[in-house]
Parts: sequence; C-alpha cells; structure tokens
Amino acid sequence: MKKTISIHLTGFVFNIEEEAYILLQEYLEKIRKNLSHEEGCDEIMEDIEMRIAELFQERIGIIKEVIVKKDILDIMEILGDPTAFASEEEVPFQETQNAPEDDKVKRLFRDKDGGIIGGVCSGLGHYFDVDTLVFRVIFVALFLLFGSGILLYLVLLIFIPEAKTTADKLKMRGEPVNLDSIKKHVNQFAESLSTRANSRKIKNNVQSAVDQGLQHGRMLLNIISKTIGVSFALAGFILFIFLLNLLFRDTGLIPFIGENNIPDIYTAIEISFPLKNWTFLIFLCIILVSLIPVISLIITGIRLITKNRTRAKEISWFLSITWTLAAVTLFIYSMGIVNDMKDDNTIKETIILEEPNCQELIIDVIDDNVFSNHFNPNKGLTIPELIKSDEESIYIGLTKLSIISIADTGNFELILNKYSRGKNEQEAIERSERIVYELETEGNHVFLPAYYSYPVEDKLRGQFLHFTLMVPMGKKVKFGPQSDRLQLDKKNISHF
Amino acid sequence: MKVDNTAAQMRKGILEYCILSILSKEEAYPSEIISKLKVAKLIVVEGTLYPLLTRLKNAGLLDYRWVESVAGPPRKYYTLTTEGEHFLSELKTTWEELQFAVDQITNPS
Repeated sequence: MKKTISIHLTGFVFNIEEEAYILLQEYLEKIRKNLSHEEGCDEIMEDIEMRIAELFQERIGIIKEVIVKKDILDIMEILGDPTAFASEEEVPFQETQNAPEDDKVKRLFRDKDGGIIGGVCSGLGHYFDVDTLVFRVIFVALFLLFGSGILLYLVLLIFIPEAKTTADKLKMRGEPVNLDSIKKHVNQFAESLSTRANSRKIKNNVQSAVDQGLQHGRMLLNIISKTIGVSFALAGFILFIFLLNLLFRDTGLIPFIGENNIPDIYTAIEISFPLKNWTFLIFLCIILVSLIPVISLIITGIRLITKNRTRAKEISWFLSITWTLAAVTLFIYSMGIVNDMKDDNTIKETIILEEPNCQELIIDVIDDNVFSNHFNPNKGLTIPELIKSDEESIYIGLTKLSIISIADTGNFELILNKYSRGKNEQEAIERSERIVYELETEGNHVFLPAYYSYPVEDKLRGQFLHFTLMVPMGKKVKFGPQSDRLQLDKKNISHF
Repeated sequence: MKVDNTAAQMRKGILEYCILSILSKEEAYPSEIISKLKVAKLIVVEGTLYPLLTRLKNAGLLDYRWVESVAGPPRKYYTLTTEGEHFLSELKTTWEELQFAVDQITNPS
C-alpha cells in the first residue's frame, strides 16, 4: 500500500504516488535552477509541465490510475538531464561541475555489493573516499587488539542503512542523482556483475551466514527476554502471596501482630491513627501502596512473555496514579500521628510503704492473666512483642523497675513515672493519668502487676511506665518467685 | 578532449537551423519536432528543445498557436514568422557555404 497525492499540471489533475511526487518535484526544481538565468524561464517551465502532463496522460488508462516512480523515471529519460535545459552558450560539462550542491551530498550507506559481510567497510570507504581495504584493516586490527572491532562492526551494521536503490548507491558515492549517473551506474553494475560472479558465491555464503547470525541473535534476545519475563512474573507472584499473607494473616513476621498481640493490621491502624472511621481507607492505601509495585512486576513479566502490549500505557498510567494517590493519602494521615506526638509529659506518683519495722521488702509479681507469668523481659523481650489490645484497652506487658539505694533511713518508697505523648502537654498529661497500674501491698510484700494498660481510645502514643524503688540504708530487698516478669535495672544496688 | 563533447557542440550549432527547417515545411508541436530530430540524432532528450523554442520565439523567429488535444493539455503549434523565414534562408546559405568548405577541406580531390 502506498500513499498517493493529487497534483495538477497546467490544469489537469493526476494522482501520483508520494515517492514519485518527490522525485518529480526534485527534478522540476533542478530544471528551474538550471534555467534560472534564462529569459523566459517561467514560460519554459510551463511548456515542460505541459509536456509532462501529456506524458502522464499517455500513461494513464482505464486500468492504471496512478503515476508511479517508474513513470517519472521514464519521463526523466525522455526529457533528459536537468543540465541539458541550460542555455546553449554554456558548455554542458562545465554545467555539470556547477551542479547544485545538494546533488552531491554524500550519505553513509552500507555497500552490500562491494562488501564482504554487511558492506560496512565498503560504505565507509565510499563516504570518506578511502580504499575499502583501509577500513577492513582497521576493523581487523581493532578486533585482534581489543576485540572491540566486532562490537563496533555490529553497531554500524545495525545503524547504517543498506544502499538498496540506485539513488542510494549514487548518494553513497557522492554522485549527483540524475539520469546520466543512474544510467552509468547501471551499466557499471552490469559489467561488474560478470567479473564478480565467482567471488559473489563466496560472499553470498558469508552474507547469508551473517543474516542467519542476526536471526539467531534475535532468537537469543527473545529467549532472554522471555526468561526475564518468567522470572519477573514468578517473583511478582510469590511476593504477591507473601504480601497478602502479611496484610491479612498472622505470619509472625510483624512482632506486634498476632493472636497474643494486636489481632491484625486493621486493628493496629485503628489504635495508631488519630482519626476514627478512616481506618478502612488507610488500610486500603497500605494495601495499594504495597501491592501495586508487585502487580506491575507481574504485568511486566507477562508482557515480556506474551509480547502483548495492548493498553499497556493506560494500565501503567492507572497503576501509577493510583499508587501515588494512595501514597499521598497515607503520608497525610501519617502526619496526623506525628502531630499527635508533638509533646510529651511524665507524671510522678509516690507510694510510701508505711511499715516502720520492715527491714526486708519482698517484691513479687501478680499473676499475669493478660500475657504470661513466664515471659522474661530481661532475656530480650521488647515492647512491640508485648503489646496486646482488646476492645477496651491496650496492654503493655513490660514494666521497668529500677532499684536505687538512698542514704536515708526512712521507709521504702515506690516512685511511679507514667509517661505519654500528645499533641500538647495537657493531652500528654491526661493520657499519662489514664495509664492503669494497680499494685498491692501486704505487710512487707509488694505485688506488682506485670503489665500496665490504658484505654484503647488513647491510641498508641508511647505510653510507658517506669517505677523506682528507693531502698533506705541498711534495708534489704528480696525478690519473689515470679519477679523475673519485671524488667529490672539493678545498677545502683550495692548490697544485692 | 572527448569526441562526444565535440560532436555535441557541432550538433548544437546546427540545431536551430534544423528546427527552423522543420517548421518551414509545416507547423508542428514540440513532440513532433523532437521525433524528427531524434531520427537525425540531433537531440537525444526533449528537455533541450523547450528553452530553444522559447528563445527563438522571443527573438521573433517563431510564432505559435494553441491547438486543443484530444486527450491531454492543449499543444503549442509553432510556425515560422516572416522574419524567421528570412533568418532561415540566411542560415541556409551559410550552411551550404559551410558544407562546401568542409567538404573541400576534408575531401580534397
């Protein structure tokens, strides 16, 4: 299928192939250039156009409706070289030398007729007016010295077009493209055909080998791209399953999610983000932000395998926009958490154990019905592993106890430090106050809970409980059987 | 020095004379003139003729009239003007003299 253009010459309309039109236009332009100093230039041009119209008319019949390149070439032969139109006072061969510059523009082509493999060297030789042998020697030398010659050759082989048409071949040699030169070229070609008949056979073998090589190369590339596609799709699929598990099930990989902790990510969002009723949206955003890249990976993989590019652009746009929107939403809501933790405060409660004769205090831990009596925070359990939530409260199963001996002779003192963050000091204080920690004293026994709790509405705002036992001079502290459940900081105890 | 060039120059020199002679016998349009000139190998391609005809016409030696063609654009039919006829007869004399002179020089008997 070729495109046709409608033109009119002296009032007659013709359909002409684009290629032929360009050729004709160039031809007429050249004639005009040659006639430019002529007195009746326009009139002559009109005569010529009229003649061309007449010749077109002869060529168009019932069967044929379009002027093709061949017709133009025929007409060019009938009318002759543009230089022949010049006034007779000028000597024709001088005229040829003065031919317009663009006739002589050289272009780099591959000369498959004159070449051995792909005609790269021969083409370069024509372009730089140097013997082909020079380039062949250079390429062989490059190959032997660095091995890069072959790569350079391949690159040139791919990027330099092959001189296919006679016009290409003339441009390659820098000869003007006109009828004379085309004729000359064709004659030369015919002559050289016979002399090269033998060498051609060998060359053909080499060239077909190169073509085959290119084909194999393409096949190899195809295999590589399919392999990459399969691995992309597979990796994407595995990641997808993994992320789904991570998002919706208890994998044990996120320390605070689980049967004995926060039941699921949805709850974790609920107790972290400040706004109520937006949990679902945030959860959705998290799902989108984490799954879209994996989905893209799978799609890319499948495309590489099937080479199917339908709606590729739309899909990738849709995914990118969705991802960005989700990420921005998530970011904005996360800023809410940051804002909610701007300030912090600690409130202090002092409990004096009024047992005057008490020389020895026994500390033990109340049975832990939220976590377990056997957890030992001194052996590396951390807060994220010891968070639990239910519908009313959040429980933190880690209490830090510091024991400090003081140079006083009074009573044992317990100082409770309740700490929280909030968007302002007031809120931080209120949150601290809502931390529930109920210890029991009985004689010289102190029973401490293993955990503290606060209402679920307070959210996770870094609430922390730390208490200090002040031990007066000469008095002793003993630890009960379950005291390992406390996190002990004994650095200041000398008599221990 | 190529023989082709010299031959081309010689042909070109007598081209005007030949065109005028053709038109002195009957009026004709360019393609007809060309086919006659082609037989005599005076010109090979048509392109050469158009500027020449225009020049001769502008010099007042030729005149033309439009004739509608059956299939295609109208044709310019050229005829000799009276001035053209004078010019032709002068050229004719010159040519005959030349012919004689060349003959004398190349074939001395």
